[in-house]
Amino acid sequence: MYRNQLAIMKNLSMLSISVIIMLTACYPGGVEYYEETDIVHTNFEEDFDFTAQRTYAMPDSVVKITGNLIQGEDPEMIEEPYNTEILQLIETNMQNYGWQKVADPATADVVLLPAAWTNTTIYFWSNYWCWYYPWYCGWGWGWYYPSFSSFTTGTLLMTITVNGDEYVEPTEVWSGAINGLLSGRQDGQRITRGINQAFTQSPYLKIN
Amino acid sequence: MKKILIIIAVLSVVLTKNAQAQENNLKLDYAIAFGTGDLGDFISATSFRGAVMEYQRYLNDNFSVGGEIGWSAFYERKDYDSYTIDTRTVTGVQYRYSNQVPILISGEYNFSPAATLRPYANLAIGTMYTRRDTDMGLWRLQETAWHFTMKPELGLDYEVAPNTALNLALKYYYGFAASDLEAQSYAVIGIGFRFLF
Repeated sequence: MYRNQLAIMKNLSMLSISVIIMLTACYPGGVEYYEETDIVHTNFEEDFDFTAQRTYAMPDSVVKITGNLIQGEDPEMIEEPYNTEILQLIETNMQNYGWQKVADPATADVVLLPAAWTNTTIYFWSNYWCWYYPWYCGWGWGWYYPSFSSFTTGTLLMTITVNGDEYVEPTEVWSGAINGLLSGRQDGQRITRGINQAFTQSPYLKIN
Repeated sequence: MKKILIIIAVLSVVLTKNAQAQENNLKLDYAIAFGTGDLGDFISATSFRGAVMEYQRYLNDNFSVGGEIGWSAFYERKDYDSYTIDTRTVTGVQYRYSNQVPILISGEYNFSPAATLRPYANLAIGTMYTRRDTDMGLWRLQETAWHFTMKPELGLDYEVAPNTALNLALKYYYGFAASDLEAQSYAVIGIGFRFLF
């Protein structure tokens, strides 16, 4: 009788532990698609009166931030057709909010500066050094190939600046940043959605 | 003198071990959890990932003391939306996670220990670890806290075999506000077994 009781308890405890493990094993998931990594961040200077402004100037190219720029070399620009598409989209949004574009930044009330950069991160699996130093891993370890994975993120930053003293210290009054994981496919649509969203969530830019 | 007599009487009931056949019990419950308060605002979805293990030692037929440890994982995906704090606005898809790990000491009163259907009441105090993650884009905001915690519980044991009972419990965990997080609270429906040994 006592042995039977023990058997029942043992079986039920194993059953309950198994059921609990089964029901709790699948930890919730996360990002599945590239576009789910897209974020749009905007910020503005609350003391600045946007409604008192009328005109803006913008360069005809989107600067690509690279190490060359940091080293003092000539800046690179975003390749076409992305360059023109980005600038046209910004222009359309500014126009919809009532801004008038002028060619000369010296006569514009504000200047909009677009810039972009990418960032690639590479992961190496462990044991890759066995490929580089095969003797380090010992004779019995065999030959290891390095296996790695990488991802690239892209960021587009738009800033609106106003004149500082004699253009020495331009002051940023608005920034809109779009960031996400680049897939190489349909990234253009995601950039379009991001730019439009940056203006949508910045209604204080509307002056008309 | 009267107070002393009352204290002695209570202690004698609580601390005197009697002819209770089994001295210990172990409860294993699967936990379905519902966030309330700040936790419910953060994640409204029900948690189906959780478990509670509780050990109790009988002090007499009705009363037992012990401790429990549990875990409930809350998760919710928030669609593409905007969140504004002061002058900053961030838009994107959010993945929200909250893990609650209560570690408590408990006392339990069994209303009819000899019956097949045994209702009981349980009260526990201790601490609860909260880890709250908010994933947005490739960024993660992580907040952690240890809360002073209380848990009332009402439940039923149904004897399905000698020294083995099916357990159904309704619990409410309330972790008081900590320096890094507001009060975190949630209700749990526990379903499992209690083993007496």
